[in-house]
Amino acid sequence: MYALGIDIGSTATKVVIVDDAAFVKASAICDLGAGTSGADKAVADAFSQLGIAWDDISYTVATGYGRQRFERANKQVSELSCHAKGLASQLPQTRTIIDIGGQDAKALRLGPGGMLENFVMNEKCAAGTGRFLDVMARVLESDISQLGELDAQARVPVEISSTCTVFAESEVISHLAAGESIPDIVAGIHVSVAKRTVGLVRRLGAVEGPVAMSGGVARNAGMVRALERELGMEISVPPNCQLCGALGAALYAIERAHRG
Amino acid sequence: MAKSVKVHSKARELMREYVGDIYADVRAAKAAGEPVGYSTSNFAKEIFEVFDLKIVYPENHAAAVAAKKGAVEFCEKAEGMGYSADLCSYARISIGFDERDADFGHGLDIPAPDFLCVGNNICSTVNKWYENLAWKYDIPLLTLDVPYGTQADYEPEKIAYVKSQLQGIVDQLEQITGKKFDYDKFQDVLETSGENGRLFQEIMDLIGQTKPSPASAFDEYNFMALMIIARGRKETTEVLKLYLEELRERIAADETTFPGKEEHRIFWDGLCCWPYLRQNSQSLAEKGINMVGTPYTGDYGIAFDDLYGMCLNYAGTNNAKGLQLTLRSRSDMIERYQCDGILCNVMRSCKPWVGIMFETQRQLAKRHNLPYTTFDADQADPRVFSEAQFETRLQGLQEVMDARKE
Repeated sequence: MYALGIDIGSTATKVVIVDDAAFVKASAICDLGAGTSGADKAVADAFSQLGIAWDDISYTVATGYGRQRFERANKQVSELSCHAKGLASQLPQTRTIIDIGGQDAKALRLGPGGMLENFVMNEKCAAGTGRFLDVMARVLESDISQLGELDAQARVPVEISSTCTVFAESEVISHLAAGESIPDIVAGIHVSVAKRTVGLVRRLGAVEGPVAMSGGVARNAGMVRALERELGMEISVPPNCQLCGALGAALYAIERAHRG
Repeated sequence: MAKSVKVHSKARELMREYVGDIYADVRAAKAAGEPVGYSTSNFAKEIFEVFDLKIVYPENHAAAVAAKKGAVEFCEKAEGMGYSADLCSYARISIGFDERDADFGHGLDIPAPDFLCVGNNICSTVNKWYENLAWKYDIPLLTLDVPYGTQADYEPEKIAYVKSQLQGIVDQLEQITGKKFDYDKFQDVLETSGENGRLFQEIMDLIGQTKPSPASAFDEYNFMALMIIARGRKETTEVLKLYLEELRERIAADETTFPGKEEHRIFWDGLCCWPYLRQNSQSLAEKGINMVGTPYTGDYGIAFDDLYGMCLNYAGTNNAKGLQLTLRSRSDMIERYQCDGILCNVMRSCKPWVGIMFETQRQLAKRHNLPYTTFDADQADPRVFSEAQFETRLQGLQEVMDARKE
């Protein structure tokens, strides 16, 4: 028997299936978020890896922006708790988690045993979130997956002073027009997001280490480096960082399944 | 665990009747050629009762319009006139409402003012808002200047300064009304107002201190309306006493009107979110979270029996207090009401309140070791609320409170 965790975000859907012993047996990511066919596609992908169907799933926990509308879920858990659980299962010493998702950014403080003690989230504005980076990558005619590599080539990051996505986009266009190099602009964007994110993290109080990062943006090594510099602390990124929320959901699901 | 019940509240019915009467009285007074005033919510309102003046309280009125889903129309109207979308939504609704093309209905149509009374103890935007009205209608603007409470205690000289302005306000209202001020009646009104403050505090304490609570502090918002628009009246005393009786009966019967199972008790900082009041309260109830205290209603629970006490009351409103006084009052509420968490409405258009909110919460969370979360919304403008954001953060808070209890 298996348990399933699904994280239906604003831009992507992630699925993790675990077995009775809480070992990950399958996972899938579909770049379609809430309100799309992303959930069905990600589940179908994960099922096909194991050759199973819904009848083989004993318990399902949904998390993420689209969690309330996923009818197969036995329970909905917030992405805050799921990211905490998923990440703590991989990096158990973690005390602070930074998660930058498609349309929000959050900082989580964990207690001993990975228990979520407190959290802060960004304001309603999308500045400093994955969406912000998407917009900037588009202006730079780059793919979001290239940003980390471009950042590594930077010499002097440009300054992006505006926190508003629209105004920052204009600033990036001005830098392009002024002949600044794309790597320097990318690094400047990362510094801008890092300053905003670290400001959020500090609202939790004194930052306790070890610090780790989850969410899709954690795949961007340039972003992680900028955050480390801004925070003055090392940040660990677990493998499959984008799956942390779904993994946490799956772990909650198997616990529930065992509880009956 | 108290049994959740749906009750027909006579107090609430009576309160609605009185509020409706007050708006009808304003319209009737205007039709009869009597002067009608607009006043901020924490002006020295007791003086109005002595003159038997009919007053509109635009914040209360804007909240009622917002609760009736009228906010967007009037906000957009005001914005179309050139007012910034960042301006207080109560101001925008009121300014837009004043330019309405047709009757709004719901018993909320109000006449234009003949004089204005503004107290800067609730914010400084009101000075400009009312000044605009004064220019528009070419009418008198009376001001009560309340010094900001920067210290840990109220400074007597500041209270004396507030008191010193009252005679001037009385003189101006004598001119506006053509009536002499009756000082004996003023003493009676003062006593009634003080008593109503005491009763309102008792209501808040019964809801806050009883565990599980016989109600939710969302219910206090209903009765707060009377404390804003009719604090100095005997009718308010009658309603508050009746509601207190209902609360005591519920406690005795181990019943509650909170429509959920009270697993957690929270403190709500900021004003409520009028257009989403039902959604907010239902969402909390579904998660077993009861809001048992809020400084918004807390503004109206101060008892007094003399003029100095009345001035102290108006010097102690939420936005007239600095960090130390703010922390003291909120800390007291959190402790006495046994709160497990804090939820903050980061009101986009109420800068004075939000300006102090984050540091306040940081210190409160540390002092009481409580989790807290914020959501972005407003008191009256529904366009800046995201239900998904509210749900996620509230659920996160619930899960943290759950984990702390395990």
